[in-house]
Amino acid sequence: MQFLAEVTVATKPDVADPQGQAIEAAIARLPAAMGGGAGVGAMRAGKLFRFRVEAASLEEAERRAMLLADRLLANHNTETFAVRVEAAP
Amino acid sequence: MRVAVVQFPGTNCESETVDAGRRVLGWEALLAWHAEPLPAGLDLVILPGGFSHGDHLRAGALAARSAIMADVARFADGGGLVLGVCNGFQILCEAGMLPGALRLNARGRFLCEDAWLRVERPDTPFTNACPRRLKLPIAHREGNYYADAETLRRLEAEGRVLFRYDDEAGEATVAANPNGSANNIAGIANERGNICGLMPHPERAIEAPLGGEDGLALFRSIEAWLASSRSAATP
Repeated sequence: MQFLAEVTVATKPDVADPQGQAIEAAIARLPAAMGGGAGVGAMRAGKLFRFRVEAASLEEAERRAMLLADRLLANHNTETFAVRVEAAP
Repeated sequence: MRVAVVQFPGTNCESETVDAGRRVLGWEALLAWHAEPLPAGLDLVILPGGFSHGDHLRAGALAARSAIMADVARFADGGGLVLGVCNGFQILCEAGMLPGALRLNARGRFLCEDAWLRVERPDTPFTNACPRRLKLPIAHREGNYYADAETLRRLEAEGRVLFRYDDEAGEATVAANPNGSANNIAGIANERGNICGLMPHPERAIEAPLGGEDGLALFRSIEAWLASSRSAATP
């Protein structure tokens, strides 16, 4: 059976995120017409992975996605991850 | 000295590392392609700099999980010396052979400049022939060493920080830290002391016309270490 997995990877809250900081600083300088200006903060940049998993059950697909997230897609020193799996339409 | 320089797709410092080994140091230096088994009879494995797998996912992440790294780990488990330079350091961290991770530089951009390092201790395979300070070039975007508080505490307490960014006065200041690395850490060793990773490039400071020769001392240290451990082993 085919499943769709979505893994989001984020920097841990207590780890500095220079990319998020750079983006946040740029937003402050953007024109209002683009959504820029004051009032946007705590920017964290992360990653999104979407993939198909062939598995016999949802549980098996989730297990595999979790394993990939834990062992490859996220670096456990600096990142956290969330996994969502659903049956492919 | 028989040295393998591991080459991944996207590695770009392997030729000059092999050249440093062969022409300058007089070693038998061979390229070891990532999809082949690691050659036998090695004294040293070097993971050189570059952009293995295009730095995709995370710098060093994909290379760290390739088959040859099991050979490298086995070599290290047997006591073999492993040196990771720049991307090689990133690969060793991603492989769990060294603790922590190398992150985006604090200034958020690629740096190509000289760095001054303090050699923290002279009694290791990688530092025994080094002067107190080294000037080595850095060329990296993800050289910001990070480890959690407990890991940092252990690294410092166990004397496993081998190279630290410092200024001319010998102070590890913020100004002397090019990339924001925790505790100004430029290079570390594993618990056993046979695996070393550093972000600066010793192979790029191997002859005066390149702008400096300080990198030579690191390689001579490895040579001296192996020579003395061999003569100690010989009855």
